[in-house]
This record gives sequence, C-alpha cells and structure tokens, in this order.
Amino acid sequence: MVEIDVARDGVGADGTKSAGSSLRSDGTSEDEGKRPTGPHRASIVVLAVGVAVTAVLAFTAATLHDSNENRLLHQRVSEAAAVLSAAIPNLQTPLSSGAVLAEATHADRGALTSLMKPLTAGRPFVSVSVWPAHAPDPRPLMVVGSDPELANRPEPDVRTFLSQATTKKVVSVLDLLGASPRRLGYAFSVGSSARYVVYAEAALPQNRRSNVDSNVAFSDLDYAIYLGSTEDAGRLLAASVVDPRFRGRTARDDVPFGDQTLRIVMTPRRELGGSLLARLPWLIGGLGTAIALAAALMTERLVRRRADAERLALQNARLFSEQRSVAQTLQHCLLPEERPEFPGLDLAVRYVPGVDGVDVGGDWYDVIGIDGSRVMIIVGDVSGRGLRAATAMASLRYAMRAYVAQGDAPDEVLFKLGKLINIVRDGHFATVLCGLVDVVEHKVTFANAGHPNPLLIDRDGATFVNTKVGPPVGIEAASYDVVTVAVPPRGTLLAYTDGLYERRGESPDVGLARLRGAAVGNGSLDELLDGMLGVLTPAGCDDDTAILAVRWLT
Amino acid sequence: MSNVERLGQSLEQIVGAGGGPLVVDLAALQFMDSSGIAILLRAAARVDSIEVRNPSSTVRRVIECTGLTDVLHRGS
Repeated sequence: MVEIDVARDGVGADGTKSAGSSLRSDGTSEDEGKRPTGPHRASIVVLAVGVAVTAVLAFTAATLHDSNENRLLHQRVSEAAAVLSAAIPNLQTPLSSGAVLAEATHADRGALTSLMKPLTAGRPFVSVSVWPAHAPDPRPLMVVGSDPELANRPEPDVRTFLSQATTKKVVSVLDLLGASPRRLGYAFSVGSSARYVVYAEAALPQNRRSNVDSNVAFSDLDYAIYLGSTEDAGRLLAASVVDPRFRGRTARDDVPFGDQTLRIVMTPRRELGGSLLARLPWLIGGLGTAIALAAALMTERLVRRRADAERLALQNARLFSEQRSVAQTLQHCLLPEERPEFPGLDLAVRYVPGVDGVDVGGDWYDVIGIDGSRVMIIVGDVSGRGLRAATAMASLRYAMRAYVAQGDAPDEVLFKLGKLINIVRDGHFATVLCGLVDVVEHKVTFANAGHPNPLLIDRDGATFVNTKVGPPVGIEAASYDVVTVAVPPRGTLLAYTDGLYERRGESPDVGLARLRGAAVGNGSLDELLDGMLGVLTPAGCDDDTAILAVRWLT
Repeated sequence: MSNVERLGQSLEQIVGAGGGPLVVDLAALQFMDSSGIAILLRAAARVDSIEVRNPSSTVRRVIECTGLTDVLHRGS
C-alpha cells in the first residue's frame, strides 16, 4: 500500500482515538516548562545596538548643529561689528571739520554756529561746544544746542580731558552715562598744536533700548552694546532687550570707538540654521529608537517562532519515532522471521519494509498447522499504514488463527473475518488470501478476499492460480467461493502482497507479468525468493511486501 | 505526489450525510492504488448505490484484481 490512508484522518466521527494522539499527550508534558518567558538575548542585542547607533547619530547631529549655530552667530557678530565701525566716521568727520574751522577762525562764533547748527537737532548730537585746549579754568567759548554736561564736571577732570584730547588722533570719548539724561561726550582737536577743542554730546535712549535694531538684517538676534571691553550693566549703551544678561549661546566682538572700544554681545532668538537642523537630533533619536524597538520586537518574534518550530519539530520527531518503533515492535512480534516448519513442506517467508514508507504497513503472513498433513497458509494486507493498520492486522491475524483452530474452511474464515472489520468504523479494509494445504493429497483449497492470485511454480514454469476473487474483508458481508488446485511433486506456491509487483502508474497486468517472469530457477526456496526480490525490487520495495513460499518436498 | 487527499475530502463532503446514488467518473484518472480504493470503498459504504464510470484499463484491472467490480457497481 503506497499511500498513507489519508481519509482515515477525515473520519473523525468514527470515535476511535488514535494511538498517535495518546502518545502526543504523554510526550509533551516535560517540554512545557522549557518555554522561555523573558526576551531573548538576540532581541536585547538588537535593541542595544539600535539604541547605541541612534545615540551616536543623534549626538553627531546635535554636535553638527551646535557648531553650525556657533559659526553662524560669530559670522553675524562680525557683520554687526562692521556696521558699528562704519558708523563711527559719522561722529568724527563733523568734529574734525569743526576743529579745523575753529583753529582757522580763532573760534569765530558765526562760522562755527553755521557749521554746527545742523548737527545739533538730536542726531547725531544734542550739544556742540568749542573749548580752549589749555585753559586753567576751562569754560566753553561758545555752545550750539543744549548746555554741555561737561561744564558740570569738576574742573580738574575737564582740564585733563581737554588736554588729553589734543594728544590723540582719534575722538576722545567721555563716559557721561551717570548723568541724566544719559549722554556720551566726544572731543576732537587738530592735534598737539591745537588751541581749541571741539566738543559734542550725544543723547542715549533713557531706557537703554535702542531703535538701531530696526535693521531687519539682525532681527533674529538679541544684542547688547557696552562702552569698553567689559559687560558692566552700568556701561550699557543700548540693547534689544530690557535685561541683556544673555544665557545660552552668545558671541561677542570688540570695535574700536574713538579712544575707547565698544563691546557687542549677541544671542540668537531662534535657530540661525533653520528649525529642521535644530530638530534633527530629536528626529533621529525618536525615529532611531522606534526602529530599534521595532527591530527588537521583530527579532523577538522570529526567535520565538523559530524556537517554537524547533521544539515542535523535536517533539514530532520523537513522537514519530516512538510511534514508528511501537508499530515496528508490534509487527516484528507478529511476524517472526524464523522459518515456519511443517512435515513434508519447505517453507520460506520474507518481510521487506518499503523504502518510501515512513510508517509500517499492515502486511502479514501466517502458517497454521491443523493436523499432521494439513496446514493453513495465509497472506494478507490491511489498507493504510502505521500503528492503526498494524493493530488491525494483529486482530485479524489472531482471529484467523482462532477460526482455523475451530476447523473452519478458508471460505468460512474469510466470511467470519468480514464481520470483524469495517471500513466505515475502523477506516481499514483488508485483502486476504487463505489456502488450506493438504500435503499428502498435493492440493490446495483457496479462498480469496480481494488479494493478488498466488503463483504456482513447477518444472514447466510459473502460472497464476485462478482463484475466485471476492471483495476485500471489511467492505460488506460477502460469501467466498473456493477453488482447489493440484500441485505437482516438488511444486512451489508463492503468495505475496501487492508491494512485490505494483508500480505507480502501471497496470497490475504488467507488474504481474514481470513477477511471473522473475519466478525462475532450480535453486532452493531462499535462492528463489532472494533472486525474485533482486530482480523485481533492485532498489528496495516502494511499499511493504510480505512473501510466503511453500514447496513440496516430494 | 498524489491527489488522493483531495479526492478523499471531496467524497467526504459529498457523501458526508449518506444517502442517494453516487456516480464517480474516473475518466481522467490514470492510476489508482489501494489508498484510492480505500477512499472509494469508504464512500461506497455510506450511499445507497454507487457506480464507477469510465475507469481506464489500468484502473479497471486494479478494481477487478481486488474483487471490487460488483462492490463499485452496486444498484439500490
């Protein structure tokens, strides 16, 4: 029988519990506790690597962003310093013109007034005055605009400031930030030979907020400008915010401002390089962590699935080998390989397991002595494979032994056998050839339930015995006809199961003809059987095969 | 390897409830071994009548050799 009896599994309604399932419930219990509960190592490694790579990427992006922002800020501060530097000549040029004019005209009030008047409208100055350069009691010689704050200063300070102004090539800047309103003073002269010093004062915004920041080029930055190179709140000239103590990213630059310097400090209001670059580290971090998590989960699932599959495969393999070994043991017990013996006969048996089959088949043979001269020979084949087929075979085999012991004839044995097995209930049927051998009379009486006809071999060759083939047992109640054949002296009868000749896709007639052709030779019974097996199944049988050979010794 | 499982499932569905006459047309079947026979027999046992039609010569010989010619042409 080539195929596993597949339909058997479909007939769940027959209520029989298969031996396979009971083995399964016994076999799995010890594996239950081995199922791992925590995450697997591989998943943790994947997660760790993923998070580490993410962290490195995010850190790199953050560092890049940071250095980019710093670079951009320094660039902007340099630009702002350049703008401031460009504004300084606006102060120095009119003062320088005034100084030259004052020397040339001996501080002529009219000429100087017409020069200074346009400069004192608030921008750039609120007050312009001309002072003697080296007077012991310095007073302004003339004033345009409001009174100079310088006049309220202590006399020695004024004297020192004015004389210093003649020694410098640049504007001397006077810190009047303590005054109210806040002012800066600028003094300039033509040089060490100067007799006059031109002095101007500019007003600073009282709240220190400057409207210089209306320049849109710097609208994304906050800034503070201090007089001198310290960031002292008292020396703050202007800022874009009320409290210019900037936190976070800042950059600073110093700009020469007359005989002093200006310190400009800047901080960005938002990311100078754009918000995407600023968010990139967070994007990378979030996305990378999500990917790492997903990868770890996926790994965990795969690892578990594989572990499950491996465990299942192991279980199945063990169950299968258990089941197979149970069936094999059963079959070996049922089919002893020692040669049956009966007076006057040479008997030989073979059982060849199929090479394709993973389960044992339900093939069997039997030799049952009745009295001194009569023996019952039986070859049968239960449909399907595996433990259930082997079990069915066992029950049929022993039932037949009982019927034979009761003295039943071959046709009666088969008739009774038909009541024991039922294809709908058991999922099996069986073909059985039953022959009553009379050694002395040289004849055999056959009854056949769907089984291949036996082969009779004598000196003239091999011929099939034409038995009356009835239906296999287990299909329906049937009566069987007997056929009696005479066996010549030293004749041989060969009964077998279909594995010996049946080939896939081939008519049984072709296989049977091949079988008949192989049944030649004058050697012993063993030589005959081994020779036939060698010819018919050189690569082993596809299916299980049972063979029983009987030779008359006389 | 074979379509024996599909044939078994189809026949199980058809005759699952038992009953009426069953006609199995084997015209397209080239070869059948004992597992195919087992399926036909299981179906045959559940129905009132069964008729196997158009078996190839090989299949017909398999049926004859197994003594099933009458079993598989059974009227009600």
